This record gives sequence, structure tokens and C-alpha cells, in this order.
Amino acid sequence: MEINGLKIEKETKGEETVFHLKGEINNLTARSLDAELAAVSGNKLVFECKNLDYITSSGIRVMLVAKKEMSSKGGYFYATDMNDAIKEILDTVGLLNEFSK
Amino acid sequence: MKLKKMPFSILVFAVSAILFFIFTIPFRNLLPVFEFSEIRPSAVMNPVLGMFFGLPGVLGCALGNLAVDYVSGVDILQCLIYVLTQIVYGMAPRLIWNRIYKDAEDKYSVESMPKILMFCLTMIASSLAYAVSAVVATSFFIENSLSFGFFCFINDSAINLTLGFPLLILLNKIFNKSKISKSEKLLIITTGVELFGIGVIAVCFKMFTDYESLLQVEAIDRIYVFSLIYIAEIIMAALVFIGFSIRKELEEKNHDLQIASSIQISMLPECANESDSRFSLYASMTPAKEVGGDFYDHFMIDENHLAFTVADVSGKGMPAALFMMRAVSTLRGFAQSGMEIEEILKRTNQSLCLYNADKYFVTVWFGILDLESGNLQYVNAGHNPYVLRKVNGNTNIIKAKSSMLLGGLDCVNYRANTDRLEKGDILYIYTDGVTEARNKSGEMFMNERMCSIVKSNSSPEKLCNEMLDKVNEFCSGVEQFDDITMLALKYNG
Repeated sequence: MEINGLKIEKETKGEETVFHLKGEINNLTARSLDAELAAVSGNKLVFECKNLDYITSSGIRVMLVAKKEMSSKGGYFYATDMNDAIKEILDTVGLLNEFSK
Repeated sequence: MKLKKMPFSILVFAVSAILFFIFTIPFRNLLPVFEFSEIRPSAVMNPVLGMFFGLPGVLGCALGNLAVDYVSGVDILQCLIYVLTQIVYGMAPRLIWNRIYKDAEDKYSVESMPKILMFCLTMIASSLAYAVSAVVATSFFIENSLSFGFFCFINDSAINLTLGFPLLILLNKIFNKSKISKSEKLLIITTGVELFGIGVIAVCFKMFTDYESLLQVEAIDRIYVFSLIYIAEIIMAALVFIGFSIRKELEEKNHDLQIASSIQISMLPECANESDSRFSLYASMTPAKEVGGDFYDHFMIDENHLAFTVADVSGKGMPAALFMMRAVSTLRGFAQSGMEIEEILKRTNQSLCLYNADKYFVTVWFGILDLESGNLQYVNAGHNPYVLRKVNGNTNIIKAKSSMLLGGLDCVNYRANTDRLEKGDILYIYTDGVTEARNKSGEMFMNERMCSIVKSNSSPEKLCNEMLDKVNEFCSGVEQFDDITMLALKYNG
């Protein structure tokens, strides 16, 4: 599904749910990601960000929700293959380590 | 996803066909027109189901129509040709609607005036498309196909304009879980009034003409012309009423926002321009919308220590503003209690993490300046680095390792950094609304422009005002996207 420039492809790898993200997470696209996140039933979630161009503060917020949700269910959340721009944003807000594997 | 969709479209196809058949058959002999057609309220199903479901809905109705024609004894070749006209009839509104509302969020809700009018026009256009194709198709079989086409047009437009709204609203409610808005409720009432009115018109005609002459085309055409005029009048009246109530609602919302805005502004230090002999300070917050998620704050902790901060809440508008109100009070509360700077941030973070299901967060640059010595302690919780203008004009962005933003994860320790201000130094803190302001070609304002303005100003007030002017000038013609907040502090020793 593609809404306002964010494409979310879901994949289940064993117990892990992987979201392949493409485009950017902004104020508008974060809503669809929020909805997809709420539909995850397991407790292990990975954002694969190879094709993710940019995130705004709304993107950080969704990642925090994911982290909290998964941790509270005894699982984990992390993001992989982030580009330098996204890494820099997460580093600035002090969350890069929290969201890395 | 694809596997799930397949049975759904088949289901739509089958159900459309069956319902079309069920709703058409009773009218077949009740209100016949010519020898092969009749007045049928189910005519509304094809364009509306077509618009909503696309091809499965259209083909379903076409099949239903084929079945009705076939059991009524219409020649099979004719039946097949009518299938084509039904496809034209059902696909026309789909094509029009999807072209106009391609990116609309709730595209089948008819809550606004332009959409209601566009729906009326779409329904009339599809009736016209059907009439034209029916004229072409029937010209092979009957002589008065033009007259039949005219009948089709007024029959379908009258029925579509009346029953189209409630059917679409119902479908949107069932399949998209869309809420029925005030204006949609009014449209349903309008439909009821229309149906009643048409009933009255029909009864009047029946009173003055006998049933035999009712079957004649002229009489039926006249009923429809009257009905159409009547429907148009009712829809116009409804539109005026809807427009009026929408405007009232908007005005109320606007008024509430104005009040919210002034509550928020009054939450920040009233006098942005504070100074005693040891320092001068100026700050400003310019929200992108009526209310914003940025804030600045400054106050004396004791007679020698000045606390000052600039912060940026995630998101914008009302949700950010509500969280901002919480963040500013929490931070101020802990800061005024006189605890160590690391403890202030740690406690504020813990407090903001509680009861924060939606994970709103705030990035904060928070500093405490010892006005006697010029010693500065600060914590950067996920915020932009500060700019320091030395008294000799040297201006640099001071990058120090930042700590985690507030409200994200609890159990975080914050590390304080230190610096020392000398007499005449200016410290400038800001939100990314300054550096990431974009101009028409999408370029950002960036650190370089910001630093050169800091460099050329030795008064906090002039600095902030010039910065705001330059940012506005840079972005002229582009809608302001983010809140713009800044604070400049000059240490006078």
C-alpha cells in the first residue's frame, strides 16, 4: 500500500515481522505506519530502511511507539540499513543506539 | 493482499447482480415504459456501485440487467447489446470521480459543497452517457430511439440525484467505516423530502389522467420534468443550508483556536525582553499554525542563576501544543526547585514518559548561567547545538554530544556540558524552524545563513528580529511549515 509517499511492505520471517519501508515518514505518512504498527500481533519487529529517504519527528515518534510496544510484550524493535541522513537525525536526538540492533 | 482481494471482487460482482435483479423485477410490470423498459429505482445501483467498487460492481449490475431482460423475453442479441450500454453507464462515474478525487483521503464521503455538486454533475453525466449509448443501441430495433434516449436521461438523472446520495453514504459507512457527517445526514433527509414530493407529483398526475394515458411517453416525461425541477430546488436549498452550517462550525473552531493561541502565548514569559545589569535576553516564538509545539522559557532560579531554554515538541498544531503545555510546566517546575541540572532533565523526562501512550516527545536545550562567574552548565536533550558569538565577533556552532530527547524512553541519565561566557558574549539557541525553513526552490535556510546573522548583531533583540525577518524573506511565497523559535542571551559580566 502506498499513501502520500510511504510504501510499506510487510514480511514475516519466523517470529519476526519485517516492514520494508520506502519513501519518507512524515506527519502524513506516519498515520498509515501507526495503523500498520497497531496491526502487528507478534513482539519482534524490524524496520528495513534501505529505501527510506527521510524521517521527521513524526517518524521518530512512530519508532518510539514501536520500541515501547515490542518491549512491553517482551520482544524487541530495531531498524536496519538506515542512510546517513536518518542516522544523523537519530543521533541528534540521542536514539541511534536505541534503534540499532 | 492480492489473494484477499480476489474473492471480494467476485463477491461484489455476485451480490450486485442478485440485488439488481431483486430490485428491478417488481417494477418491470408495475411501471412499464415502451414495450421493453420501465421506471426503475434500481437504475441508481449501476453508477453508484460502479463508482464505489469499479468493474465488479458494474459487471454485476450489467449481469443483473441481462437476467431481467432475458426473463422478460427480450431478444438475446438485444440483451447483449444492452450489457454494453450498462457498462458505459457504470464506468463513466468511476472514471470521472477517480480523476477528480485521486488523492482525496475519504474520497466517497460527500461532506463538502463542491463534492455534493460534483456528485450531482457526475450522476447527470453518467445518465447522459447512458442515454447516448442507449440511443445508438436501440436505433437498430426501434424507430423512436431518440425519444427513448430522452426518457432514459430524465429517468436516470431524477433517480440518481434522489437515491444516489443515500446509497453512496450507506456504502461508505459499511465498507470504509466512515462516519456520517452532519451534511450527509441532511442529504438523507433531503432525499426523503424529495421522494415524498415526487410521490405527490405522481399522485396528482394520476388524479388528473387515467392509467392508460400515464403509460404514454409524454405524460411520463412531464412527471419527470416536474420532478427534476423539484429535485434541483430541494438540493439547492439543502446546499445553502449545509454551506451555512459549515461556515458556522468553522467560525466556532476558529474562535476556539484564537483562545487556545492566546492561552499558549501567555504561558511563555510575558516579557520576552528581560535584562538586569548582568545580562540582556530576547526570545520569540512564531507558530506555523494558530498554536505550536515550540517553546522558550527563562527565569531566575536564585539571585545568581538564570535558567533558559528552547524546546521543540514532535509534530505540530493542536496535538503538539497540548504536549508543549505539559512539557513547559514540568520542566519549569523541576528547574525552580533548585536541583542539579542533570536531575532536572532526568526527572522531567521520567515525568513526560508517564501517561504518554502516543509517545509525544520534546527536544530541549536547557542551560543555567551563573551570572557572577559566567560559568554555563547546559544539557542538550536531542536538540540543535547552540551558537556562540564571542565578543570579538567570532561565531561558532558549539557541537557537543547530545543526550536523548525527553518523553521517549525513561531511565535515561542526562550529562551536563559546561562552557564559560565572557563579558559581551552572545549565546543563541533556536529550533529547526530556523535552519530548516525552505524557500520556493526547496532550499533550506541552513546553519551558514543563521551564523552570519548572529555574527553581525551585538544586541539580542536586534539579532532575533533580524533573524525572523531574514527567514521570512527567504521563505516569502512559501507557507510556513514549522514553528520558529529562538532565544538570544548576552552576558554583560
